Amino acid sequence: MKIKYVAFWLPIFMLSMALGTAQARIRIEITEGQAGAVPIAIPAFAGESEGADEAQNLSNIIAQDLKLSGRFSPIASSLLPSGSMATLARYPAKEWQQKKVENVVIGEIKNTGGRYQVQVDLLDVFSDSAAGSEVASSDNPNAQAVPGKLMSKVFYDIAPKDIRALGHHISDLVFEKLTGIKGSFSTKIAYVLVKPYGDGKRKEYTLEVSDLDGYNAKPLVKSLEPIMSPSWSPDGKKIAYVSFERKRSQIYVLEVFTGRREKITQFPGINGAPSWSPNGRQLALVLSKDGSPSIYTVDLSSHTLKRLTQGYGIDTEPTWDPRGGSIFFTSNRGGGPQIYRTSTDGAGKIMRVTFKGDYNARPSITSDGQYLIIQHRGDDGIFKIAKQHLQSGELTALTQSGGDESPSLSPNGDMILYGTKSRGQSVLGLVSLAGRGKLRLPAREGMVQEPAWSPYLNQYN
Amino acid sequence: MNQAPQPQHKFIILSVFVHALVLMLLIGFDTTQVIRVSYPADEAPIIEASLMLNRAVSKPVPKKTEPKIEPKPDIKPEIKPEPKPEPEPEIVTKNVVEIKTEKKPPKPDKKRENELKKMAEQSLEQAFKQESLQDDLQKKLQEHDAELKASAAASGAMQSEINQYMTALASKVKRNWRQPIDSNISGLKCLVLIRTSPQGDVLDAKVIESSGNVAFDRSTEIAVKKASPLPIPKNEMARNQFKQFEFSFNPGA
Repeated sequence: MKIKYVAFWLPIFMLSMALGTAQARIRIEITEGQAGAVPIAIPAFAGESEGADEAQNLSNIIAQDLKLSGRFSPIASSLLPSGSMATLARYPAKEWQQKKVENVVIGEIKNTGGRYQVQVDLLDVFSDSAAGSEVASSDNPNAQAVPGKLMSKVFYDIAPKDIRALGHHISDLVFEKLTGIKGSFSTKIAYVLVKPYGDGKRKEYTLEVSDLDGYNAKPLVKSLEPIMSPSWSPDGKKIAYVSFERKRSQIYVLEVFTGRREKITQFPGINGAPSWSPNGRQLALVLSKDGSPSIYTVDLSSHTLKRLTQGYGIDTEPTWDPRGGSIFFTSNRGGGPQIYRTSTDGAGKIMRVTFKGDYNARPSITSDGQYLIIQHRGDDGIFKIAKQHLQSGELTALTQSGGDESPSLSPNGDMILYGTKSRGQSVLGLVSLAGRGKLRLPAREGMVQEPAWSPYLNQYN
Repeated sequence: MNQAPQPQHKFIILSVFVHALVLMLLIGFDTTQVIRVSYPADEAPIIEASLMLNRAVSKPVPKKTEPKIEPKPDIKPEIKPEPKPEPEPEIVTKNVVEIKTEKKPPKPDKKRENELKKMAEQSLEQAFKQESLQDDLQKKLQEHDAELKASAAASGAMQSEINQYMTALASKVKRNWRQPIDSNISGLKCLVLIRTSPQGDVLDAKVIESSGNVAFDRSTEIAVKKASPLPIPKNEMARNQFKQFEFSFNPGA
């Protein structure tokens, strides 16, 4: 099926290559009501030194962020005008429109004695002053030069080392202004990096935290025994995880900034899959101390345990409904692995949630409570990331590449980070809830597993 | 926990995956390119356009072709079209005014016609030999018939012209619409207030009833502006209806 699909699109792709035109042009001409990302222009910012480290290039950082959201399609800067911010601010809206963009981000960086003064504008090139006869009619030549309308204007004074953080922050602003959804670009991800150690027969496990795009990676814990299941506290200051450093599973809570850690459980048998409650006071986890693996909650101040599920089946991977009140988990109580739901008071009934396919696992719930995100095995036998609309039960696959696992939702519920395979390596992929923007994050040395997306972090406000 | 697919499938899957990846890299991850049509051509989206119309000409002409257009007869005073200063052909104006006060459509005025006919018959009987009177009455009847026909034809023609342009307009907006990437676009609907120049250039397009989705609202405003100039009737009276009107965008994708 996949091959047919490729063969079908190949001629069209070749054509667009041959014409050497922007794909957007052809696409818009031939179809109606086409689903498409917002075309946006982000010309190089004035003061960005050419040939300098691309990682420090603010306009690049913003374009990359917006592109990976799947909702925006930034136009290559080689197709865009360049010049000072003042020049670009006067650039006629009509000319931007002819470049098939709807919005423009222009900016300027001034190096003032070791600090950067940064100014950024977001423009709407289809504003009322920029559209219609005032511009379109030829009997008013002055109107031809009406520039785009200013939607946002921001100033910053930052240390050079904060340039990437500022880029993500500006991406958040643009994203929110144009979609109404809070941006998730200033967040962090935690994951487990696995590398060969010594003679290569042993493995080294590292719990790492990095920016969403893989930059600024910082190791937090290293071990020659497995590290698993990182989970962020709702305030973004702690990470709960499972460590086998004592040759058996234990659950720890680690403070991200101080490195201090606290052991939470070390019961005989399984101590696994910790998941933070929305109010940050409890962890849901899996223990097998009383028989088969079951879901428990532990109060983090009193360390009181409460058992939520019973029975002989395996219950694992608990996750909280963001509104509290109930927990979703994976269980084989009905045969194969499926998602179930129970209330957190331990008295509620257990209800099955997934019914499509014979393998559904790794549940998480979007922040608006509308969708269940799962690892799903399709009828084709391939593991993919899927969403299930909780009210209607409708299930939609979001990825197709196979071997996709461990989905983790962005705090705005619009994107999903997941583990996948690329050339035999475990890498991280990113997909939007709409099934768009499938991207692989920059490859790292070693295997990257079990990503966990942080909550919103208050860096700039 | 995450079993790999069957080993014998591994190579096929890997090969497909690598091909797909290479292709994705080549086309710059522009996945929008591969999703072509959100709905088949024969299942055109419903686009309702509601115009601020006079009651006199507001009898909707049922249309079989999609997109569906339902002119709403109610007049919202704050955006009522300006009064028309230009003198219209007398027949039309007279009828419009009459019907407005009586709140009756122009065509089914059979009662009055019958009355006139009765009157005429009575007169004919009473003054059988008064030929001059008979001529006069017949003349009057004929005149009235012509009057009615002309007015019906005029308003009918205008209405059909308006409908025709609304269809064209809705379809042009739809062609210029970029359906935003969102997990929940289906069923969204917003109401846009559009102002146009006599040439059909869009002077202003503002969402006045939000769909609740910022990206959808923005995409609708931009679609209207991209569709500028809009197709506008040539008939001056019909054109006046398009100076300022509400456009309900409900693509149902």
